[in-house]
Amino acid sequence: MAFDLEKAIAAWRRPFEHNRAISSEDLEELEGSLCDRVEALVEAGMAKEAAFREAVRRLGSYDTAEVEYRKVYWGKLKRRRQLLNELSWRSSMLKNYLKIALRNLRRQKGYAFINIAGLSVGLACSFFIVLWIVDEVSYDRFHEHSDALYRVMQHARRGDQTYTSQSVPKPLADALEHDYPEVEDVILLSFQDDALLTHGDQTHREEGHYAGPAFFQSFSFPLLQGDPAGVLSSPNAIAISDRVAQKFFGEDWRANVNVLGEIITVDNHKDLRITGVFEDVPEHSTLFFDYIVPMDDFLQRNPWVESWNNSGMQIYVKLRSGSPVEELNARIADLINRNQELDKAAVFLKPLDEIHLYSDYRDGKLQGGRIDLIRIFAFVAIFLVLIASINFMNLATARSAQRAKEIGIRKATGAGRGSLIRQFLTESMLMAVLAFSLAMALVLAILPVFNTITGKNIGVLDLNPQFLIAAFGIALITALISGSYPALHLASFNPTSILRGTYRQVPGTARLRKGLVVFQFALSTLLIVGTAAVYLQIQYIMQKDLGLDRGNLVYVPHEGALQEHYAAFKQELLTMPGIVQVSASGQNPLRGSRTTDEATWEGKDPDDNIRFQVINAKFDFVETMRMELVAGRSFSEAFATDSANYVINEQTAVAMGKENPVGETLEFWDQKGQVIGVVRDFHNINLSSPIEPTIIRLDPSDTGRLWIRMKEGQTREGIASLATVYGKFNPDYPLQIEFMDKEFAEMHRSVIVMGKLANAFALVAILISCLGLFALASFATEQRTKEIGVRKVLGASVSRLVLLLSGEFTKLVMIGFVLAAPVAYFAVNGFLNNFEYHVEIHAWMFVLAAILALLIAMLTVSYQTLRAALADPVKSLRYE
Amino acid sequence: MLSRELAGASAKPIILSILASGESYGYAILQRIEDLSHGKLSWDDSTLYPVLHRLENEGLLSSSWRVADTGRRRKYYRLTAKGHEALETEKRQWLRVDAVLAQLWGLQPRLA
Repeated sequence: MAFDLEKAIAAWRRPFEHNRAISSEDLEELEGSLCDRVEALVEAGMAKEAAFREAVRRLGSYDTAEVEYRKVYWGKLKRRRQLLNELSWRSSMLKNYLKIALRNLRRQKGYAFINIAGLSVGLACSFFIVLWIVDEVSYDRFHEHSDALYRVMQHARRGDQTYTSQSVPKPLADALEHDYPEVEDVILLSFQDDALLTHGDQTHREEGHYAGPAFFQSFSFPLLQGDPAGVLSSPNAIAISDRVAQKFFGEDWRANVNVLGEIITVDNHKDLRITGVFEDVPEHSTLFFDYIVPMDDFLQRNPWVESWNNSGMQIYVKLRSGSPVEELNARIADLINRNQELDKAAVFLKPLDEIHLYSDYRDGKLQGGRIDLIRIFAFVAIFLVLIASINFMNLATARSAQRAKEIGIRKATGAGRGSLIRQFLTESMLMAVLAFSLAMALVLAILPVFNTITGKNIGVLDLNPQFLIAAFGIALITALISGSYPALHLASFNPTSILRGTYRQVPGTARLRKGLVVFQFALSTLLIVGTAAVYLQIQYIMQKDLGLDRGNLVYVPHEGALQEHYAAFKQELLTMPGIVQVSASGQNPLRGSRTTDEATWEGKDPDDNIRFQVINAKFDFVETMRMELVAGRSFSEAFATDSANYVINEQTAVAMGKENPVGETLEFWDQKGQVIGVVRDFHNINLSSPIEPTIIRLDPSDTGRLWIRMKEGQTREGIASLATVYGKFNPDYPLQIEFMDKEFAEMHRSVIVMGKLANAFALVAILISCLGLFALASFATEQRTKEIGVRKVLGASVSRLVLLLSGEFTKLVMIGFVLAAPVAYFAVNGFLNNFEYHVEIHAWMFVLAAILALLIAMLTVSYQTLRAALADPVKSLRYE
Repeated sequence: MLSRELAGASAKPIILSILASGESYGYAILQRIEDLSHGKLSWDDSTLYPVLHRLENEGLLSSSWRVADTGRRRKYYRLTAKGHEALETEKRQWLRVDAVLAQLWGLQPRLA
């Protein structure tokens, strides 16, 4: 029979195949070795069968092979078992730590609760701040090209002041588009306007803009219906928002109607075709609008915009990717100057996503803006977490004396330092987990209140996984850091001295604890003083005499039929109950917008370039506003020449350099007239800026606002009267009443919000600090029980004892206050200097804060000290 | 033939040393040992491979399967960094023993 190598190998393999210790790979290796040798022998001249036999012989018997392979196999198994053993040991140690940790928590429920409560409140507050910051930072980032979009702005120099504005000349857009290849798109945008939109029998007033054709392609306001490229390309087109479409066509307009092509009448005189419906503009957008109409119409009706001398448009640009902005800014800076003679202005591009946070310009330099608020609150968040952590550390180390026995025994029975540290860290972690859960629950519960205060709309959905992970991370790190010191401290106790009873706490720990309390109260003082300053400033703003009476004053837009029948309207309204006075003006005197620097008068220095605010008004304006005349008179219908005359404010008189400006000539805008009266300075713009020189003139044509002063206490009647007369004279237009003092409050809204938040956080800080102080005080008095007993026996009175016990703590609080005072002073100063008109800082404020801090500390501590002082000395002396 | 103890003790340094000069597979290692000892030492395949596996479990060797041109798979072994360290230790120990024996037997000790 011929020798079959394959068969022979197969036969040889069989016993190996059934052996568990030899894997198929091992067998493959062995077989390969066999074949290699057979080949080598055959090559050397041996016959195949002989070679096979020799190879098998050299390989070794199956029995020896089995023994050797088994040895290796068992070795591997042993190693695996060792690993599993170690793992199970570690996990049971962890379970043990947790069991003891829980037991400790239950035993010391009071301390544990205070600790966890303090930590969770601090964490909850910082979570709120994080949510707020994340919200603020996300403005305008929803645009797909947000990092390529810029707003064109100018620093304009007038006199010795520089004003930064987004109002720029329209020809700038043409120049940017044609001469600068880095600019991919230019979008013209009018300032926000409002218009009356009518469809069928529904009329609504909505806000919107005129916009250039590239609007929907450059910005990301997605269209639900309509084509982004074509939406604004035809004249007489209009794009409306989802919200407006729902108002006109019903909530389910998308399913029922194709609104494209429908007609909307604007301001009761122009018909426009709907060419697009866009999604409601998201909250986090600097641009807000409910309709868009093509820019061409605006340009046709306002040819004055084509001049380089006039500003009045917004321009946005989209740059090609990779264009260096700095370099472009340098090249466009003098675009305006090159094209006209009068003004000196520097053009620059501002990134779209920086507008919301960085919009505060003073004298041509960027000072910050909302970002300052964010920084302040970020600090507050860190402060709060710090205070809570310090609490944690303090309480944990304070309790150490009570755990001394436990630690002593554990060490004596063989626990290593590492294991003790791990034990205490586990306890800290456990508390951190509990505090975190509690904090999240607090956040969810208080979120609606928070939204109301800040005016935001943070939803549960915003608590996304990233936030949760970050929040949990914060909690964990806080616990780790705050827990590590006590862990190390506790683990280093000397067991022998503990068990012998001679253990005394290292004086260093007490010092550290005191230091921590001082730090805590210093931070709290800072927050208290800060809050007080903000509160006082708000009071000041709200109550400051503005120079005009903003209470009981309302306004309505002066439009439609009212403009023609103003005189009749005013006459009739004045006869109605609740109405004191009626007038009109072009602008809100508190806001201002028209300006001129062309004014001249006798004796004016030709080099002077002063900017004046101009208010166009009708008769009785000064009276309706209740501005105070300090010289001369106001406009009167008795004098025909008054149509060219002026009433000025005190600042204007100063600018003119005239002590008695009444009778002086004043000329601008091709109108030469006399100054007939001077009013006391009234605040215009807002309280952040100084009062500017203002001129009031009669201009019956430019009066967009109707002012109505109501009788004090008769506002409801006044409004009813207004509604009646308005409805009679102007039925086509819905009545829209705005209150002057509400508008004022709106302007200062962010400070008010800040005030409320500061109040809340200061309270929280005090609360946490007090919690800590309370716990520490109870611990300290417990430690001194024997001492108190002895003192009582020796005749000390209760009051003596209370003073003695609380003296220590009040001293710490005072030190904290003293340390914080200078820092607080600087911080408050810096804050108040943001306002041109602000409260003054007086020393008594700090004294008050000190007394407050002291009172709080004493109150917190008193419960414990009083209880200790009243205790039965017999029991105290027996105390073990 | 070597005594069992000696054979067992010498396996580790020999294998580590062979692999120190480059990776190799089982059969080649066996051949090398035969060549070096002029046939005096010849190991069974079935004793070599378990040793290789044990050294790999201890982390001194690492292995990878390669396909040869013939199409057959071969398992190649190479020294790890730990393996190099272990080799140095073995070398030191053997040479120490050798020095003592050489003195006792009046031979020249191998230069360490």
